Amino acid sequence: MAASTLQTQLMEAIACGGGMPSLAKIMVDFLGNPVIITDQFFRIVVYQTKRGENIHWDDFLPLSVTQRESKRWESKTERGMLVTPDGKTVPYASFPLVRSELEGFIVLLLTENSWSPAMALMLEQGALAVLVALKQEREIQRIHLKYKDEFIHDLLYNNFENREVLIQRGKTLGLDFSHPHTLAVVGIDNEESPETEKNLEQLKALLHSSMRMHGDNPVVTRRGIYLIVFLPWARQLTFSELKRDLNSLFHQAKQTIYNKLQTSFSVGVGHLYPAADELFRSYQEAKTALELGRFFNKSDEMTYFDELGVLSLIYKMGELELKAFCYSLLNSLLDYDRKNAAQLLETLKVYFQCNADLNTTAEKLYVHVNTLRYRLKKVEELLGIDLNNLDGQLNLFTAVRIFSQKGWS
Amino acid sequence: MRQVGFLVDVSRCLGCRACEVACKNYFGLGETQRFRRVEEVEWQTENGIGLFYLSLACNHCESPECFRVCPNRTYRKRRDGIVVHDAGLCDGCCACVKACPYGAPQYDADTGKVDKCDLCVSRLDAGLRPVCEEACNNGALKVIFLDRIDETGLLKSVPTLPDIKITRPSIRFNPPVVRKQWLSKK
Repeated sequence: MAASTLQTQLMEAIACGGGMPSLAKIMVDFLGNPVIITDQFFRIVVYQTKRGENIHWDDFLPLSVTQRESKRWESKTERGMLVTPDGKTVPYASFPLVRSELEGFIVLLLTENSWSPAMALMLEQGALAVLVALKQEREIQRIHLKYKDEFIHDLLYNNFENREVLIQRGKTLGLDFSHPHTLAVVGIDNEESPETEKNLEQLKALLHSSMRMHGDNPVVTRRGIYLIVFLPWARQLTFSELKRDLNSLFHQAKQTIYNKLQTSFSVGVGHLYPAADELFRSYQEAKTALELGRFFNKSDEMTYFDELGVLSLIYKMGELELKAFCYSLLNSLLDYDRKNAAQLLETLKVYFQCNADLNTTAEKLYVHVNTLRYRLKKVEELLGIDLNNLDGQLNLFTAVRIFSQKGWS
Repeated sequence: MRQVGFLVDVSRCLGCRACEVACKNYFGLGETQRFRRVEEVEWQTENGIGLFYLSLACNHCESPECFRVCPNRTYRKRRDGIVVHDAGLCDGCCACVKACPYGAPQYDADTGKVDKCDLCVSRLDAGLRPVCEEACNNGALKVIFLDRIDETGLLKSVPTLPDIKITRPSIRFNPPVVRKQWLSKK
């Protein structure tokens, strides 16, 4: 009886235009315990308590959803203990909001009244109304996001006539581009994984929360397989100041995010331009930095376009010139590998990847260090260079890097 | 995110160059300009040497290098993903010509400016199809929305296409097929 009255009141609140806070308040009145409604990643959408008590939660509840669990969600109440940010434990019960897929949770903190079958029934009955309201809010957000996305596209692809128009349009969407902004592009490291879409959405939510350490209004948006982060600065910074601050920010962010995310991510950072109408360049630079930083299949990298050094010069060169450079240097090596089914090029790649450390390289290649020495000697013979000479190393390192990056054969 | 692109069926392409000629004709291109280029490609397969024709124009990349390096901001990317070039702002510095791995921007000695394929935006906006797609009699060239197609079985690259990791071109290929050769080369 109480359950159907709860459902009726919730539906009436939705019909009167009441949002999530009013629904949560109704649930608190019925269930007698504080209620938290979260999204599918346990990010808190609304937290409603009874008068007098207040726990200061972070943006996310310290719970996690594994893929295995999510498949068993249909109408299953889970109970356990939650650890609050100040270290206390609180009993809770959570009910998943599921229709065709998991949309969120209702989390009941059992601080006032203990668990009972009546509560379970009320949670189940109230879930549908809460799900409707959650979906309504998501739809409004989606429309807002659509306008924001179009603005971001125009910003990233130089579609504004001038800076003033850009700043004006941004202000109508609550974005202030009158200050210098850093643009960072974030990519999930294992892009081909079937979980990538889900991981990206989760990472977006987690990053947005983490970037609030930098300021009140970070912009984290998604374009295809990348996340783009805009971070405003009060003034133009030197590169070393920028690098120090960003490294610290992302280091802290990763500590939180890697507890919740199943995969790692890498970051590419573009040049810090003083004006927002140059952000389109920064965007392309950040993507280039991200891809070049992932060279040799590295992951969890943070690469600055300003630090690419000779590689950023090289990437401005034409394809034909790069090919001519690489093949002129590596041709005899490639020939030898082809005729003798040898692995000299692969050996060189790993050697440079391991910063020319013989022992680490030998370990990675599963060969004896003398075998490695023999192979490197063979490389020197074939190419007529001395690997101990800096010039020789630089040219060879550059050629191998470009060759591998381009995927030539 | 909308993205218009090309779907090229290299097994259907006969190398007739109708697309190349139609484009050059329609736009009255300069002597050295070929916005669309058809090239013969040989590649090593398990069954021997394969041969196909590759018809390439501008790939309207997700991360266009031309766009990044142009000092005069002549490039922009529309909301449908087409990368357009404003010849009015171009001073012919050719930074984009050097930067593009696919040879899309091309210098015209007569005008002293660079230009490239714009996927016939004026025709698309008028509800028509690009001239290269219309000219192809064998159905080897199609213009598609990449965000709407099922990419199962399609390739993002084919032999001899330059590296796609940085630029992420908006082009997909039906895989080349090695057919039986009735005449062998000696």
